[in-house]
Amino acid sequence: MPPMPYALDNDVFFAALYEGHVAHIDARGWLDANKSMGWAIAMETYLAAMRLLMNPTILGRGILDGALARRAVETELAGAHPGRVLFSGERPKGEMFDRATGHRQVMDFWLIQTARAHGHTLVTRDKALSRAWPDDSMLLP
Amino acid sequence: MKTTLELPEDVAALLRQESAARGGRRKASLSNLVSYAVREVYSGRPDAPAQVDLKAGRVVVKRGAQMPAVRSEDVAAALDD
Repeated sequence: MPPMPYALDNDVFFAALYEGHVAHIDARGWLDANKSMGWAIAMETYLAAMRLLMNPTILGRGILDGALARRAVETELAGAHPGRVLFSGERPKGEMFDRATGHRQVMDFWLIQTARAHGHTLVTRDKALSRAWPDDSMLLP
Repeated sequence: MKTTLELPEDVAALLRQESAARGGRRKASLSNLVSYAVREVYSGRPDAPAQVDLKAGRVVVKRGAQMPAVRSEDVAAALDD
């Protein structure tokens, strides 16, 4: 059975993009080394990256405008091993979301559901998320 | 930088209230809340956006002098707003 392609969660994708993220070197290196396996981000992760690149709390005085933030994400998705953007027409599934105990889990679980629906493994640095969904995720350092 | 701030009681109460609303000091410490508020008020519009290395398939937003280091917790908090 061929390996499943990867879907990046919000934090890993942003860490790969922004040099100031404490995990930038690891995330950038991992993504560069594994794009050839097939990779994707959910539309929610695309928008999260734009929000973070335009947020002064995150980028300080270096914030990007909307045009440059969108171009940065689109350019990352281009190249020799282009990334897909995953959409989901489904609603949240009870078998997954009924397990949520805190509000921050909702988006994480949604990314797991979206990745699973497209046959992708979600790449995350979130240990709790990886523990909750070991068959659907891969933990990065 | 470590420093000591003398805050009016109403400001301190607001900080405690905001921290509690965001899940307590482990998730939203008073230092983080003060830093956020200062950046919001005093950082102003950027002189220029960050330098972005736009190579197809490999984008890096360079960290300039007035750009913070960011942890996963900061990313989660920003997306939670």
